[in-house]
Amino acid sequence: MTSYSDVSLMIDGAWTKGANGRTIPVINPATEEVIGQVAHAEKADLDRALEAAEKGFQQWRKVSPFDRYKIMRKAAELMRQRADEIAPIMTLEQGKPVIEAKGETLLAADIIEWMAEEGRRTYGRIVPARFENVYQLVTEGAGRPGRGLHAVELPDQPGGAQGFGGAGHRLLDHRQGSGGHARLVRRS
Amino acid sequence: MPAGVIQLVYGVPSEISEYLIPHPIIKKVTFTGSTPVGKQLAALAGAHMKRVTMELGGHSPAIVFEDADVDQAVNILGANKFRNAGQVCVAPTRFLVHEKVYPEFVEKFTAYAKNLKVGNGLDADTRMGPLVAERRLHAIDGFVSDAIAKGAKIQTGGQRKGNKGYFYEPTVLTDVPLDAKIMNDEPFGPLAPISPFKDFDGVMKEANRLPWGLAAYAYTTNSKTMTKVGAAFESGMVSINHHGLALPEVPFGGMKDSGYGSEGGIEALEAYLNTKFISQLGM
Repeated sequence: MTSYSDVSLMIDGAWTKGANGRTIPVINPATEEVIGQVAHAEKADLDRALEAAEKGFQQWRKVSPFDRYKIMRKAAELMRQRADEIAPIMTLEQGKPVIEAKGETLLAADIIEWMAEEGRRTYGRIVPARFENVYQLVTEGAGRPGRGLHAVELPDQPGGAQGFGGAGHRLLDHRQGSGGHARLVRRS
Repeated sequence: MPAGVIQLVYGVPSEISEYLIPHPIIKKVTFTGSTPVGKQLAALAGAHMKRVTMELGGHSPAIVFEDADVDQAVNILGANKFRNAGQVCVAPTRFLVHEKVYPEFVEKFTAYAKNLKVGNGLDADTRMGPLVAERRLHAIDGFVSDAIAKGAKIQTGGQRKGNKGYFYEPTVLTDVPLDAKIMNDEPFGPLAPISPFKDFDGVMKEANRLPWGLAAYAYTTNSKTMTKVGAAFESGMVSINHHGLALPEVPFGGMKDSGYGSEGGIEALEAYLNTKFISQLGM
Protein backbone atom coordinates (compact mmCIF):
# COMPACT_ATOMS: atom_id res chain seq x y z
CA MET A 1 0.00 0.00 0.00
CA THR A 2 1.35 3.37 -0.98
CA SER A 3 1.73 5.83 1.85
CA TYR A 4 1.26 9.55 1.53
CA SER A 5 3.63 11.96 3.24
CA ASP A 6 2.80 15.49 4.31
CA VAL A 7 3.77 18.08 1.71
CA SER A 8 6.26 20.83 2.56
CA LEU A 9 7.31 24.08 1.01
CA MET A 10 10.66 24.16 -0.81
CA ILE A 11 12.59 27.34 -0.06
CA ASP A 12 16.29 27.94 -0.48
CA GLY A 13 17.05 24.28 -1.08
CA ALA A 14 15.26 22.96 2.01
CA TRP A 15 11.88 21.37 2.67
CA THR A 16 10.13 23.48 5.28
CA LYS A 17 6.85 24.05 7.11
CA GLY A 18 5.00 27.34 6.77
CA ALA A 19 6.15 30.11 9.13
CA ASN A 20 3.01 29.78 11.26
CA GLY A 21 2.76 26.02 10.98
CA ARG A 22 -0.62 26.24 9.26
CA THR A 23 -1.62 23.37 6.96
CA ILE A 24 -4.33 22.45 4.47
CA PRO A 25 -5.76 18.91 4.47
CA VAL A 26 -5.28 16.67 1.42
CA ILE A 27 -8.24 14.41 0.61
CA ASN A 28 -8.14 11.19 -1.39
CA PRO A 29 -11.04 11.66 -3.82
CA ALA A 30 -11.56 7.91 -4.15
CA THR A 31 -12.14 7.38 -0.40
CA GLU A 32 -12.89 10.91 0.93
CA GLU A 33 -10.27 10.30 3.63
CA VAL A 34 -7.79 12.93 4.76
CA ILE A 35 -4.47 11.39 3.79
CA GLY A 36 -2.09 14.19 4.74
CA GLN A 37 -1.47 17.88 5.14
CA VAL A 38 0.16 20.44 2.90
CA ALA A 39 2.08 23.37 4.34
CA HIS A 40 0.44 26.78 4.01
CA ALA A 41 2.85 29.58 3.06
CA GLU A 42 2.73 32.91 4.92
CA LYS A 43 3.99 36.24 3.68
CA ALA A 44 7.24 35.65 5.56
CA ASP A 45 7.71 32.44 3.57
CA LEU A 46 7.10 34.27 0.32
CA ASP A 47 9.71 36.87 1.28
CA ARG A 48 12.21 34.12 2.00
CA ALA A 49 11.33 32.44 -1.29
CA LEU A 50 11.88 35.68 -3.20
CA GLU A 51 15.19 36.32 -1.53
CA ALA A 52 16.32 32.76 -2.22
CA ALA A 53 15.18 33.03 -5.84
CA GLU A 54 17.22 36.16 -6.37
CA LYS A 55 20.28 34.52 -4.84
CA GLY A 56 19.72 31.29 -6.77
CA PHE A 57 19.28 33.22 -10.00
CA GLN A 58 22.55 35.06 -9.59
CA GLN A 59 24.32 31.71 -9.21
CA TRP A 60 22.39 29.78 -11.84
CA ARG A 61 22.87 32.42 -14.55
CA LYS A 62 26.60 31.86 -14.26
CA VAL A 63 26.22 28.13 -14.89
CA SER A 64 26.85 27.45 -18.58
CA PRO A 65 23.99 26.09 -20.70
CA PHE A 66 25.99 22.89 -21.11
CA ASP A 67 26.33 22.39 -17.36
CA ARG A 68 22.66 23.22 -16.80
CA TYR A 69 21.85 20.65 -19.44
CA LYS A 70 23.82 17.99 -17.60
CA ILE A 71 22.03 18.75 -14.31
CA MET A 72 18.60 18.73 -15.95
CA ARG A 73 19.32 15.50 -17.85
CA LYS A 74 20.21 13.89 -14.54
CA ALA A 75 17.02 15.24 -12.99
CA ALA A 76 14.96 13.71 -15.79
CA GLU A 77 16.70 10.38 -15.32
CA LEU A 78 15.96 10.42 -11.57
CA MET A 79 12.29 11.10 -12.31
CA ARG A 80 12.18 8.10 -14.61
CA GLN A 81 13.78 5.93 -11.96
CA ARG A 82 11.25 7.16 -9.38
CA ALA A 83 8.18 7.08 -11.63
CA ASP A 84 6.82 4.00 -9.85
CA GLU A 85 6.96 5.88 -6.52
CA ILE A 86 5.66 9.21 -7.82
CA ALA A 87 2.69 7.82 -9.80
CA PRO A 88 0.71 6.32 -6.88
CA ILE A 89 1.19 9.55 -4.88
CA MET A 90 -0.52 11.42 -7.70
CA THR A 91 -3.29 8.82 -7.74
CA LEU A 92 -3.86 9.09 -3.99
CA GLU A 93 -4.37 12.85 -4.01
CA GLN A 94 -5.87 13.28 -7.45
CA GLY A 95 -7.67 10.06 -8.37
CA LYS A 96 -6.38 9.23 -11.83
CA PRO A 97 -5.38 5.63 -12.61
CA VAL A 98 -1.76 4.84 -11.76
CA ILE A 99 -1.02 4.01 -15.38
CA GLU A 100 -2.02 7.56 -16.40
CA ALA A 101 -0.02 9.09 -13.55
CA LYS A 102 3.04 7.11 -14.53
CA GLY A 103 2.69 8.14 -18.16
CA GLU A 104 2.55 11.80 -17.12
CA THR A 105 5.62 11.40 -14.92
CA LEU A 106 7.60 9.89 -17.77
CA LEU A 107 6.40 12.59 -20.16
CA ALA A 108 7.47 15.24 -17.65
CA ALA A 109 10.95 13.72 -17.64
CA ASP A 110 10.97 13.88 -21.45
CA ILE A 111 9.98 17.56 -21.30
CA ILE A 112 12.76 18.43 -18.86
CA GLU A 113 15.25 16.61 -21.04
CA TRP A 114 14.09 18.22 -24.27
CA MET A 115 14.16 21.70 -22.75
CA ALA A 116 17.61 21.03 -21.31
CA GLU A 117 18.83 20.18 -24.79
CA GLU A 118 17.06 23.14 -26.34
CA GLY A 119 18.63 25.48 -23.81
CA ARG A 120 21.98 24.76 -25.45
CA ARG A 121 20.64 26.03 -28.77
CA THR A 122 19.51 29.55 -27.98
CA TYR A 123 21.42 31.11 -30.81
CA GLY A 124 21.70 34.84 -31.36
CA ARG A 125 22.56 36.36 -34.75
CA ILE A 126 24.77 38.91 -36.46
CA VAL A 127 22.87 41.48 -38.52
CA PRO A 128 24.83 42.95 -41.45
CA ALA A 129 25.17 46.67 -40.82
CA ARG A 130 24.47 49.46 -43.29
CA PHE A 131 27.45 51.44 -42.00
CA GLU A 132 31.09 50.59 -42.28
CA ASN A 133 32.92 49.20 -39.28
CA VAL A 134 29.68 48.60 -37.32
CA TYR A 135 29.07 45.25 -35.74
CA GLN A 136 25.42 44.42 -34.89
CA LEU A 137 24.71 41.55 -32.58
CA VAL A 138 21.39 40.13 -31.33
CA THR A 139 21.68 37.93 -28.26
CA GLU A 140 19.05 35.51 -27.01
CA GLY A 141 19.15 34.72 -23.46
CA ALA A 142 21.42 31.94 -22.46
CA GLY A 143 22.92 33.64 -19.46
CA ARG A 144 20.22 36.28 -19.47
CA PRO A 145 17.13 34.42 -18.40
CA GLY A 146 14.37 35.89 -16.31
CA ARG A 147 13.14 34.60 -13.03
CA GLY A 148 9.76 33.01 -13.47
CA LEU A 149 6.68 32.35 -11.45
CA HIS A 150 4.77 29.26 -12.43
CA ALA A 151 1.34 29.20 -10.88
CA VAL A 152 -0.78 26.08 -11.19
CA GLU A 153 -4.42 26.09 -10.34
CA LEU A 154 -4.50 22.62 -8.84
CA PRO A 155 -6.60 22.86 -5.74
CA ASP A 156 -6.27 19.38 -4.45
CA GLN A 157 -3.06 17.71 -5.50
CA PRO A 158 0.15 19.04 -4.05
CA GLY A 159 2.05 15.79 -3.51
CA GLY A 160 2.78 14.88 -7.09
CA ALA A 161 4.46 18.23 -7.47
CA GLN A 162 6.50 17.58 -4.38
CA GLY A 163 7.44 14.20 -5.77
CA PHE A 164 8.83 15.91 -8.82
CA GLY A 165 10.43 18.65 -6.75
CA GLY A 166 11.77 16.00 -4.42
CA ALA A 167 13.48 14.38 -7.32
CA GLY A 168 15.38 17.65 -7.16
CA HIS A 169 14.17 18.95 -10.39
CA ARG A 170 12.77 21.26 -12.85
CA LEU A 171 9.52 19.65 -13.82
CA LEU A 172 7.65 22.60 -12.42
CA ASP A 173 9.88 24.76 -14.44
CA HIS A 174 9.98 22.77 -17.62
CA ARG A 175 8.98 25.77 -19.69
CA GLN A 176 12.02 27.69 -18.66
CA GLY A 177 14.74 25.96 -20.57
CA SER A 178 17.87 27.87 -20.06
CA GLY A 179 17.48 28.77 -16.47
CA GLY A 180 14.66 30.81 -15.02
CA HIS A 181 13.40 30.09 -11.57
CA ALA A 182 10.09 28.63 -10.67
CA ARG A 183 7.71 28.73 -7.83
CA LEU A 184 4.73 26.47 -7.72
CA VAL A 185 1.76 28.14 -6.18
CA ARG A 186 -1.01 26.01 -4.91
CA ARG A 187 -4.49 27.16 -4.11
CA SER A 188 -6.34 25.91 -1.08
CA MET B 1 21.71 22.73 -8.77
CA PRO B 2 22.27 25.71 -6.44
CA ALA B 3 19.83 26.17 -3.55
CA GLY B 4 17.21 28.74 -4.46
CA VAL B 5 16.89 27.83 -8.12
CA ILE B 6 13.50 26.25 -7.43
CA GLN B 7 11.00 27.33 -4.79
CA LEU B 8 7.66 25.62 -4.14
CA VAL B 9 5.03 27.45 -2.13
CA TYR B 10 1.42 26.49 -1.42
CA GLY B 11 -1.40 28.48 0.12
CA VAL B 12 -4.28 30.73 -0.83
CA PRO B 13 -3.67 31.36 -4.54
CA SER B 14 -5.00 34.90 -4.72
CA GLU B 15 -2.88 36.00 -1.74
CA ILE B 16 0.23 34.44 -3.20
CA SER B 17 -0.17 35.71 -6.74
CA GLU B 18 -1.12 39.23 -5.63
CA TYR B 19 2.07 39.37 -3.61
CA LEU B 20 4.50 37.65 -5.96
CA ILE B 21 3.45 38.90 -9.40
CA PRO B 22 4.04 42.63 -8.69
CA HIS B 23 7.29 41.90 -6.83
CA PRO B 24 10.36 43.20 -8.70
CA ILE B 25 12.27 39.93 -8.26
CA ILE B 26 9.65 38.09 -10.35
CA LYS B 27 10.27 38.52 -14.07
CA LYS B 28 7.95 36.04 -15.76
CA VAL B 29 4.61 34.45 -14.95
CA THR B 30 3.22 31.26 -16.42
CA PHE B 31 -0.17 29.99 -15.40
CA THR B 32 -2.14 26.81 -16.02
CA GLY B 33 -5.77 27.06 -14.97
CA SER B 34 -9.14 28.58 -15.67
CA THR B 35 -9.84 31.45 -18.05
CA PRO B 36 -11.34 33.79 -15.39
CA VAL B 37 -8.32 33.40 -13.10
CA GLY B 38 -5.95 33.66 -16.07
CA LYS B 39 -7.46 36.99 -17.09
CA GLN B 40 -7.01 38.35 -13.56
CA LEU B 41 -3.38 37.24 -13.40
CA ALA B 42 -2.58 38.52 -16.90
CA ALA B 43 -4.09 41.89 -15.97
CA LEU B 44 -2.03 42.05 -12.79
CA ALA B 45 1.11 41.03 -14.66
CA GLY B 46 0.35 43.64 -17.31
CA ALA B 47 0.09 46.36 -14.71
CA HIS B 48 3.65 45.50 -13.70
CA MET B 49 4.95 44.84 -17.23
CA LYS B 50 5.68 41.17 -16.53
CA ARG B 51 5.71 38.70 -19.36
CA VAL B 52 3.15 35.91 -19.16
CA THR B 53 2.30 32.53 -20.61
CA MET B 54 -1.35 31.59 -20.13
CA GLU B 55 -2.57 28.02 -20.65
CA LEU B 56 -6.27 28.33 -19.89
CA GLY B 57 -9.53 26.51 -20.48
CA GLY B 58 -10.93 24.99 -23.64
CA HIS B 59 -14.09 23.57 -25.14
CA SER B 60 -12.62 21.34 -27.83
CA PRO B 61 -14.74 20.41 -30.83
CA ALA B 62 -14.28 16.88 -32.21
CA ILE B 63 -15.67 16.50 -35.73
CA VAL B 64 -16.37 13.08 -37.21
CA PHE B 65 -16.97 13.36 -40.97
CA GLU B 66 -19.05 10.89 -42.95
CA ASP B 67 -15.97 9.22 -44.43
CA ALA B 68 -14.25 8.72 -41.06
CA ASP B 69 -13.16 5.39 -39.67
CA VAL B 70 -15.83 5.39 -36.96
CA ASP B 71 -14.26 2.67 -34.82
CA GLN B 72 -10.94 4.49 -34.75
CA ALA B 73 -12.70 7.76 -33.86
CA VAL B 74 -14.66 6.11 -31.04
CA ASN B 75 -11.60 4.47 -29.52
CA ILE B 76 -9.29 7.49 -29.66
CA LEU B 77 -11.86 10.11 -28.72
CA GLY B 78 -13.23 7.85 -25.98
CA ALA B 79 -9.80 7.35 -24.43
CA ASN B 80 -9.16 11.11 -24.45
CA LYS B 81 -12.63 12.12 -23.31
CA PHE B 82 -12.41 10.00 -20.18
CA ARG B 83 -8.71 10.32 -19.43
CA ASN B 84 -8.36 11.81 -15.94
CA ALA B 85 -12.18 11.61 -15.73
CA GLY B 86 -12.43 14.33 -18.38
CA GLN B 87 -10.46 16.81 -16.28
CA VAL B 88 -8.04 17.71 -19.05
CA CYS B 89 -7.87 21.11 -20.76
CA VAL B 90 -7.61 19.53 -24.23
CA ALA B 91 -10.29 16.87 -23.66
CA PRO B 92 -12.72 16.60 -26.60
CA THR B 93 -15.94 18.27 -25.43
CA ARG B 94 -18.39 18.93 -28.28
CA PHE B 95 -18.75 15.82 -30.43
CA LEU B 96 -19.99 16.88 -33.86
CA VAL B 97 -20.83 13.89 -36.04
CA HIS B 98 -22.02 13.81 -39.65
CA GLU B 99 -25.67 12.75 -39.77
CA LYS B 100 -24.88 9.70 -41.95
CA VAL B 101 -22.65 8.13 -39.31
CA TYR B 102 -24.33 9.72 -36.28
CA PRO B 103 -26.45 6.69 -35.20
CA GLU B 104 -23.46 4.35 -35.51
CA PHE B 105 -21.15 6.74 -33.62
CA VAL B 106 -23.65 7.30 -30.80
CA GLU B 107 -24.19 3.56 -30.39
CA LYS B 108 -20.49 2.69 -30.35
CA PHE B 109 -19.40 5.63 -28.20
CA THR B 110 -22.15 4.83 -25.69
CA ALA B 111 -20.93 1.23 -25.54
CA TYR B 112 -17.38 2.49 -25.00
CA ALA B 113 -18.51 4.66 -22.07
CA LYS B 114 -20.58 1.84 -20.54
CA ASN B 115 -17.66 -0.56 -20.64
CA LEU B 116 -15.18 1.75 -18.90
CA LYS B 117 -14.11 0.37 -15.56
CA VAL B 118 -14.55 3.16 -13.02
CA GLY B 119 -12.87 2.78 -9.65
CA ASN B 120 -9.99 3.58 -7.34
CA GLY B 121 -7.01 4.57 -9.46
CA LEU B 122 -4.76 2.31 -7.40
CA ASP B 123 -6.57 -0.78 -8.73
CA ALA B 124 -4.79 -2.16 -11.76
CA ASP B 125 -7.96 -2.69 -13.83
CA THR B 126 -9.33 0.83 -13.27
CA ARG B 127 -9.62 2.92 -16.45
CA MET B 128 -11.27 6.00 -14.93
CA GLY B 129 -10.92 7.35 -11.41
CA PRO B 130 -12.99 9.85 -9.41
CA LEU B 131 -13.32 13.60 -9.89
CA VAL B 132 -10.71 15.50 -7.89
CA ALA B 133 -13.03 17.09 -5.34
CA GLU B 134 -16.54 17.06 -4.00
CA ARG B 135 -17.37 20.46 -5.52
CA ARG B 136 -16.64 18.99 -8.97
CA LEU B 137 -19.39 16.39 -8.42
CA HIS B 138 -21.87 19.22 -7.86
CA ALA B 139 -20.57 21.10 -10.89
CA ILE B 140 -20.93 18.05 -13.16
CA ASP B 141 -24.38 17.30 -11.77
CA GLY B 142 -25.30 20.89 -12.59
CA PHE B 143 -24.25 20.48 -16.24
CA VAL B 144 -26.29 17.27 -16.59
CA SER B 145 -29.47 18.49 -14.88
CA ASP B 146 -29.38 21.71 -16.89
CA ALA B 147 -29.04 19.73 -20.15
CA ILE B 148 -31.91 17.40 -19.21
CA ALA B 149 -34.13 20.33 -18.27
CA LYS B 150 -33.50 21.75 -21.75
CA GLY B 151 -34.43 18.51 -23.52
CA ALA B 152 -31.22 16.45 -23.66
CA LYS B 153 -31.35 12.66 -23.58
CA ILE B 154 -28.98 10.53 -21.55
CA GLN B 155 -27.57 7.57 -23.49
CA THR B 156 -25.57 6.33 -20.51
CA GLY B 157 -24.40 7.61 -17.13
CA GLY B 158 -25.78 10.89 -15.85
CA GLN B 159 -25.25 10.38 -12.16
CA ARG B 160 -22.80 9.92 -9.33
CA LYS B 161 -21.45 6.39 -8.98
CA GLY B 162 -21.82 4.99 -5.47
CA ASN B 163 -21.91 7.21 -2.41
CA LYS B 164 -18.31 7.09 -1.28
CA GLY B 165 -15.61 8.81 -3.28
CA TYR B 166 -16.24 11.47 -5.92
CA PHE B 167 -17.02 9.05 -8.74
CA TYR B 168 -19.22 10.09 -11.64
CA GLU B 169 -20.42 7.76 -14.36
CA PRO B 170 -19.01 8.21 -17.86
CA THR B 171 -21.89 10.08 -19.48
CA VAL B 172 -23.10 10.39 -23.07
CA LEU B 173 -25.73 12.99 -23.93
CA THR B 174 -27.63 13.55 -27.19
CA ASP B 175 -30.23 16.08 -28.34
CA VAL B 176 -28.48 18.79 -26.34
CA PRO B 177 -29.63 22.27 -27.41
CA LEU B 178 -27.01 24.95 -28.05
CA ASP B 179 -28.26 27.03 -25.12
CA ALA B 180 -27.47 24.25 -22.63
CA LYS B 181 -24.69 25.16 -20.20
CA ILE B 182 -22.54 22.23 -21.33
CA MET B 183 -22.46 23.59 -24.90
CA ASN B 184 -21.09 26.92 -23.65
CA ASP B 185 -19.04 26.37 -20.47
CA GLU B 186 -16.08 24.04 -20.02
CA PRO B 187 -17.43 20.94 -18.23
CA PHE B 188 -14.07 19.53 -17.07
CA GLY B 189 -15.64 16.16 -16.39
CA PRO B 190 -16.64 12.84 -18.00
CA LEU B 191 -19.48 14.24 -20.12
CA ALA B 192 -19.77 13.76 -23.89
CA PRO B 193 -22.54 15.68 -25.71
CA ILE B 194 -22.92 14.36 -29.27
CA SER B 195 -24.67 16.38 -32.00
CA PRO B 196 -25.27 15.63 -35.70
CA PHE B 197 -24.32 17.98 -38.54
CA LYS B 198 -25.12 18.20 -42.25
CA ASP B 199 -22.35 20.12 -44.03
CA PHE B 200 -18.82 21.47 -43.69
CA ASP B 201 -19.69 25.15 -43.33
CA GLY B 202 -22.34 24.43 -40.72
CA VAL B 203 -20.07 22.28 -38.57
CA MET B 204 -17.18 24.75 -38.76
CA LYS B 205 -19.48 27.53 -37.65
CA GLU B 206 -20.40 25.48 -34.60
CA ALA B 207 -16.80 24.37 -33.99
CA ASN B 208 -15.62 28.01 -33.88
CA ARG B 209 -18.69 29.44 -32.13
CA LEU B 210 -17.23 29.70 -28.61
CA PRO B 211 -14.62 32.17 -27.32
CA TRP B 212 -12.13 29.36 -26.62
CA GLY B 213 -9.56 27.96 -29.02
CA LEU B 214 -7.28 25.44 -27.36
CA ALA B 215 -7.50 22.03 -29.07
CA ALA B 216 -9.65 20.75 -31.93
CA TYR B 217 -10.03 17.29 -33.45
CA ALA B 218 -11.27 15.86 -36.72
CA TYR B 219 -11.70 12.40 -38.16
CA THR B 220 -11.86 11.92 -41.95
CA THR B 221 -10.22 9.72 -44.57
CA ASN B 222 -10.44 12.46 -47.22
CA SER B 223 -7.18 14.36 -47.55
CA LYS B 224 -8.94 17.41 -48.96
CA THR B 225 -11.16 17.59 -45.89
CA MET B 226 -8.09 17.20 -43.65
CA THR B 227 -6.48 20.25 -45.23
CA LYS B 228 -9.68 22.30 -45.15
CA VAL B 229 -10.50 21.50 -41.54
CA GLY B 230 -6.94 22.09 -40.38
CA ALA B 231 -7.08 25.60 -41.81
CA ALA B 232 -10.63 26.36 -40.65
CA PHE B 233 -10.33 25.55 -36.93
CA GLU B 234 -9.77 28.65 -34.78
CA SER B 235 -7.64 26.74 -32.37
CA GLY B 236 -4.07 26.71 -31.10
CA MET B 237 -3.76 22.96 -31.69
CA VAL B 238 -5.41 20.67 -34.24
CA SER B 239 -5.09 16.90 -34.31
CA ILE B 240 -6.53 14.94 -37.22
CA ASN B 241 -7.27 11.20 -37.11
CA HIS B 242 -5.30 10.75 -33.90
CA HIS B 243 -4.45 12.42 -30.60
CA GLY B 244 -1.07 13.95 -31.32
CA LEU B 245 -0.78 16.80 -28.83
CA ALA B 246 1.30 17.68 -25.79
CA LEU B 247 4.71 16.37 -26.80
CA PRO B 248 7.85 18.17 -25.61
CA GLU B 249 8.98 19.29 -29.05
CA VAL B 250 5.70 20.78 -30.32
CA PRO B 251 3.87 23.98 -29.31
CA PHE B 252 1.19 23.62 -26.66
CA GLY B 253 -1.12 26.60 -26.31
CA GLY B 254 -4.32 28.27 -27.31
CA MET B 255 -5.94 31.18 -29.10
CA LYS B 256 -8.72 33.52 -28.01
CA ASP B 257 -9.90 32.95 -24.39
CA SER B 258 -7.67 29.87 -24.11
CA GLY B 259 -4.72 32.18 -23.54
CA TYR B 260 -1.46 32.97 -25.25
CA GLY B 261 2.08 31.74 -25.31
CA SER B 262 3.19 28.15 -25.54
CA GLU B 263 4.18 25.49 -23.06
CA GLY B 264 5.98 23.28 -25.55
CA GLY B 265 8.49 23.48 -28.37
CA ILE B 266 10.99 26.24 -28.97
CA GLU B 267 8.22 28.82 -28.37
CA ALA B 268 8.09 27.76 -24.71
CA LEU B 269 11.75 28.56 -24.23
CA GLU B 270 11.61 31.86 -26.11
CA ALA B 271 9.15 33.25 -23.58
CA TYR B 272 11.94 33.13 -20.99
CA LEU B 273 14.66 34.73 -23.04
CA ASN B 274 15.54 38.40 -23.24
CA THR B 275 16.36 39.60 -26.71
CA LYS B 276 19.16 42.16 -26.62
CA PHE B 277 20.62 44.14 -29.47
CA ILE B 278 24.21 45.40 -29.33
CA SER B 279 25.56 47.75 -31.99
CA GLN B 280 29.27 48.46 -31.83
CA LEU B 281 31.42 50.77 -33.87
CA GLY B 282 34.96 49.42 -34.21
CA MET B 283 37.70 51.69 -32.84
